[in-house]
Order: sequence, then structure tokens, then C-alpha cells
Amino acid sequence: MKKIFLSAAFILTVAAGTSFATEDPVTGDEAKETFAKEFAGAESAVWKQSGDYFKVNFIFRGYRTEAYFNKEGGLEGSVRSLLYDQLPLTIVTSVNKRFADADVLDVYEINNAEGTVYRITLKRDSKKIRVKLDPAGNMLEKEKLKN
Amino acid sequence: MKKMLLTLAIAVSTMSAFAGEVNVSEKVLNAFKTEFTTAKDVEWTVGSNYYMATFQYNENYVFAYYSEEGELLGLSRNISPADLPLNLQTNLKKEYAAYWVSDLMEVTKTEGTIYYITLENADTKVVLKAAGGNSWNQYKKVKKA
Repeated sequence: MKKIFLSAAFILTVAAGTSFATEDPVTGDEAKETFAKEFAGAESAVWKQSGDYFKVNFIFRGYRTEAYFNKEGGLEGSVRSLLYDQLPLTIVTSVNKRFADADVLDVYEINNAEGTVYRITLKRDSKKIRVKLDPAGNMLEKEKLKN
Repeated sequence: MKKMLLTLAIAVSTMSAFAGEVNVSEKVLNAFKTEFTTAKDVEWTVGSNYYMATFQYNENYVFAYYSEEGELLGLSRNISPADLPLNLQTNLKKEYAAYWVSDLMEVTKTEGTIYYITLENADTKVVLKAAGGNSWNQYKKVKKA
């Protein structure tokens, strides 16, 4: 169930900036309580609900971030938008080796209970590629995107 | 090996670079240039059986360590707490909210990334280590005099 929120569909939602808000007002008091503890100092928080889950977009320590909570208030995962040079060096060197002549379009750090992965979209020769790497820089997925 | 990298990285501020007088082997130079094609302001220091390069790379100030055979032993750089993976940031807040961060280093080896963070309060200095996971483990703890 956790992976659903961190699947490509949800990441694309983050990237495209579209919402999946319901018509009902967002409550999720437990989620908001957890959020206040985990992300003290967060700014510009905007909440949305999708079924039994709550999503919040916010700025945390200068990073645009999205977090997902279940209805019990448990933090299910998060997605953070990074600049390329903010990536761990092992990721940077791994990507630079494989895609030396590509432009980086976006970088996301995805966290859940299973750990952290990095999703990077690149452009080379007018073609877009999306890769996912683990913290050791190993490529987990590679996908060609439609322009 | 990990201890060596950390010791070297921490002591780097006391090491003097004597660029221009350092004799760096071709193997090491070639390995470095292949790996870090966009590196700027490179300076070399020679140790007993290793070479250390300090340089600007992708807006970062990086230390790279090579064996005499040109094998990249590891990289390190100082980062800010906000640059840590988010799960490590939130895990840190739970136990060490009353401490301040005096040092934070990212060390890169072939097996992945390791973070060393130094936290202090009035009485104690503690170093935590996180290696490719979601959690911190205590690496060292010292009572202040």
C-alpha cells in the first residue's frame, strides 16, 4: 500500500503540480499533529486528501517537499525536490558517468519505510530519460519518456 | 579504510596543500580527470600511501582520495543538515533535538554513502553515523571537560 503513494503516478502528480483534492474539507488532525512534530518549521503547507490518505505540500528548510500520511497520522513517505548538486556525490558521479552529455531536468528524493531512492529526469539528443537510483548510485530503473 | 577516510577528512583543515611541488602519478591524475571532468581549482596532497585532491565540483568543495595505483578510495564533502536525506533529518530530530550540529560530513565509497554528524550540547559531543539506511548509530561520544 505504501508504494502506491510513491509510484510514478504520484511522483508525476508532484512534477505536474496537479492536485487530486476531494470536494470535502481536509481534516486529518492526526496527520497534522504528526506533521507538526516531524517537520517543525515547515512553511506554506497545503493539505489535500485522497481516500484514506493525506498529502501535504510544503517548504522545509528551503526544499519543496511533499509528505503522505495515513488516517492514523503515520508518515507513509515523502518526496523532495532537489537541485542536481545537492544529490549525494555517489549519485552525481554515477549519473555523470552514464549520461555525461545529458541535461538534468528534475531531481526527486523519494523516502518511505523501505529507504531512499532518487529519481532523475534527463534530456539527451532531444530525448527524455527518467532513471531511478539507490543511495549507492546503482540504477534501479531506466525509462524513455515521450517528449 | 572507513576510519582512515574520516580521519583524513576531519584533519583536512590542518593539512597544507603544496600545489606545484606535489608529484602526483600519471595513473592517479588520469583516473581523476576521467572521473571529474568538470573539476576546478584542483589541489593535491600526498600521504604515506594515498593522494588527496581537493577541488570544486558541481558547486561543491570535495575531497577525493586515491590509492597509489589510481583507485578512487572515496570522496567526502561537508554538507548542511538540510541536505541530508529527509528520513535521516526526521530521525535525528527525535533524539537529538536539544543538540546543535557542529559538523556534518558525507563520505562516499563504492558501497554507498555514509553520513557522519557531530552533535553537541553543553556537556557532550557525540558523533553519529548513518550508512545507507534510515537510522543513525552512535559512532563516538565524548564528555566535554
